Amino acid sequence: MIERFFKQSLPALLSNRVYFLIALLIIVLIFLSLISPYFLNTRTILDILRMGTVLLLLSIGQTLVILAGGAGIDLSVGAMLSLSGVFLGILSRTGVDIWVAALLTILFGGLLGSINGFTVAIWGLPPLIGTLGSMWAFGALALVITNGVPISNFPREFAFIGDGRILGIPTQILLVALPVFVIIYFFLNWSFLGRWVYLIGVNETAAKFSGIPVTRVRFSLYTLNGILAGIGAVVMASWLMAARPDVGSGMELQSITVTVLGGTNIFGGFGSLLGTLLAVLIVTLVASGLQLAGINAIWQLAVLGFILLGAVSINQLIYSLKAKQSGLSA
Amino acid sequence: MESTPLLQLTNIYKSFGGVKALSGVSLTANSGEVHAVVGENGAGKSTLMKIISGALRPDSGQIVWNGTEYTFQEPRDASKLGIAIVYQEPLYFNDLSVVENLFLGEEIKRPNGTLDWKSMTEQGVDALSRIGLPPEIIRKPMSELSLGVKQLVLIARAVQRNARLLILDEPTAILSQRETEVLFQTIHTLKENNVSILYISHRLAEIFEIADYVTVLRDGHVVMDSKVTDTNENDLINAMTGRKISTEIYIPRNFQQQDPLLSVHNLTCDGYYSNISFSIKPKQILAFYGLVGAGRSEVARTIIGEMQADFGEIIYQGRPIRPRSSRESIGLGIVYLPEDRRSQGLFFIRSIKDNISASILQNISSRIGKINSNLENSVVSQIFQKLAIKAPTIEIPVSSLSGGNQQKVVLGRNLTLKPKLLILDEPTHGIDVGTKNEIHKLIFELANQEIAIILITSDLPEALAIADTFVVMHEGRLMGILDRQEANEELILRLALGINGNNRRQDEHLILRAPLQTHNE
Repeated sequence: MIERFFKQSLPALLSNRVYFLIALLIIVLIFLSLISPYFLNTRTILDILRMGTVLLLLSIGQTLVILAGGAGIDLSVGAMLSLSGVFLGILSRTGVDIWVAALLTILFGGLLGSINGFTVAIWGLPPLIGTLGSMWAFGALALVITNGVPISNFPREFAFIGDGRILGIPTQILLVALPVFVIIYFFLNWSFLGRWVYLIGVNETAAKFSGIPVTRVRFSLYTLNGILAGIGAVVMASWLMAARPDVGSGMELQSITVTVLGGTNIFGGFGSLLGTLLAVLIVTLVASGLQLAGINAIWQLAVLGFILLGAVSINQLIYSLKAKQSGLSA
Repeated sequence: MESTPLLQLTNIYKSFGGVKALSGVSLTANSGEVHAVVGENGAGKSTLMKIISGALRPDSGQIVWNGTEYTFQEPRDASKLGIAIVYQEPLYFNDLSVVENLFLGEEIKRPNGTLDWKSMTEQGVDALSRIGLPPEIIRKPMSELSLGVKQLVLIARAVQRNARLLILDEPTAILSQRETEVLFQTIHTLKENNVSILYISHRLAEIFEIADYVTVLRDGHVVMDSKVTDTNENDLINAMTGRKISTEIYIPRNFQQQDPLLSVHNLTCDGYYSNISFSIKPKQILAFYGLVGAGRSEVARTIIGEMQADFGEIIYQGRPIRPRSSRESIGLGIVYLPEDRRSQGLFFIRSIKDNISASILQNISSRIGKINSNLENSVVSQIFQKLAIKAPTIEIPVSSLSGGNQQKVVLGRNLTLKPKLLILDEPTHGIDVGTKNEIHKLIFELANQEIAIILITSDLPEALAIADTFVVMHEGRLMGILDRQEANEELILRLALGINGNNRRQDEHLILRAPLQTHNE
């Protein structure tokens, strides 16, 4: 019975990326509670997860863009985050009501995303090149506008999003991360638009002949990416109470890392948002755990790399072992 | 006469995870003979060939080569003995030259370790000329050759390596008529050189043309093993399908009084086709016949909006149309079944259900976009049953289906759209006889429901069996439109080959032209 579990049921379960990540998450939690006795406490964990909100927003968009195939990828999400934040800071400085400014920022993010949608989906530039270009352009624009100096004159009540709590739960989790994830999860798994995303990712030509508006779907996904970056910018500014022009640098690669760690095929057509969510949780918990343990911040990036390489390799290994057992590799 | 057979398989069994692919198959191949292996898709032909070429190991059974028993661990073991296989979709390096492809992996080296191009070129030219290919192609990159010549080059590779048994898997599937003739000449030459050939094909006529022996497989069993001279086409079909199939399937319909559903006037797209005019009525089945590269698919793609014409008019339901995408033409009731189901039709890793419902997802969703899965299941199940798709459930991925069932899935997706005009591009290409017949019956059934059907096919007997009207194209030009009464095999073939009357065209170099090359007249 036990032997059967370890020889058959467990490998079968773990060869599925989502279950594998759940197991990894449990291991991380156990490990962290061993380092620090204060760790296993709902409040602490929620506080830590708050740090993952912005990464989750960007990774959700990244997952969709990659899922839809055609070598889809968005390298500009970090730059869109920075530039949208600067936009918010400027609006606030010129006296626009902060909540109106926040709404306009989200729309501004969508506008930036639609520029990618235009160059990539409509014009047909390779996504890597199109969004690499906009990454430099948006990033530089954010620095030029601010002269590299953060804008920090937000009204006190704005901190509510980044630092507030409702029923003890951090606002940015309850009001931003959770609803956005649920809505887009529904969109991807139950709506026809979500099915289109997968089908386009599996076979673009077949999708076209089936009457699926491939170009429009891809355009919308890049635009959505901008909207999510805009939301992320609002959260980030509220949390830091400042708009830093370089706040998003490096986040584009983090979001891609999280997406592939979550099991999304880099060539599209296969993957899940649940995997991405779990990957964000793992990465965020590990990063803060390392901080708790007093490990140098530079090492934390290396650890992210090790997690990615290690997790994907082990997952592959289990998968091929299982395939061998069931004779699929013949 | 009786000598040791070159290859003798006895009682071969092979299963994949509980599914029996071969049960007790025995086969004998003699030197200097062409042995045809036929059977529907999924009958076990490919598995058997993979066992012979060493790519798969049998669960049990004997392989005796020239009197000695062997167990192949890997393809290299079989190729050392002189067994060569040319796959249906040939494997070659497009950017390398013919000589590089010929000697790939077995290059001749000088003592100092550098490549001996001189010897390789000499031996390569020798191999090419032995199968009737012009020696001057030796330095050309593969990409400049037509598909047929590429295939012949791969056969030359086997010849050059002194293959004693050559396995050809559906070699004519991608060949034009002319290229097929060259292939057959090559096979005759090889026979004279005492090479044994295992020939896999769906095209029964070919078997009677070139094979000496024929073995029919059905569901992993040998159901017939005979000299070709002792059998006929109907016997083979019966053996393959296990049921009687009438070759006379044409059902006359009356569509004369109706107005045309679609008419095309002087449609021209530079580099692809010019001056194409024809019309089709509801209930009519119109066959588009021509060789590969004649421009038939391009005309179809213009009608559905995936290509734009430079000149000419498309009138549909009495109004000129100019769709800009499949999505637009689908909205008009024009539905297209693409030519290559694997790369253009199927969502390979997705389920049968997801594949069939792909075109109607938006229509079966609620206002907030949620797919109504009850409705989806019922629409898909209905199609699944109507087309008799062979699968346990609609949830299994299409990748696990046979070619014929995969084609039914794509066709099923077309039918969810309730087409008025259905354009089928090579719907029975590479499909077993049984499924082919089912698809033909379905085409008649659809035509009876007032649907106009354009059937693009390279299979002339198929066109003759089911079409009311024949539109024949050659190198982008319309050669003629014939109705059923005046059409016959010879006439259509002559038109398709661009031969007018007795003036036979000089087309000796036709074979060296890549088939998709554009023709500017």
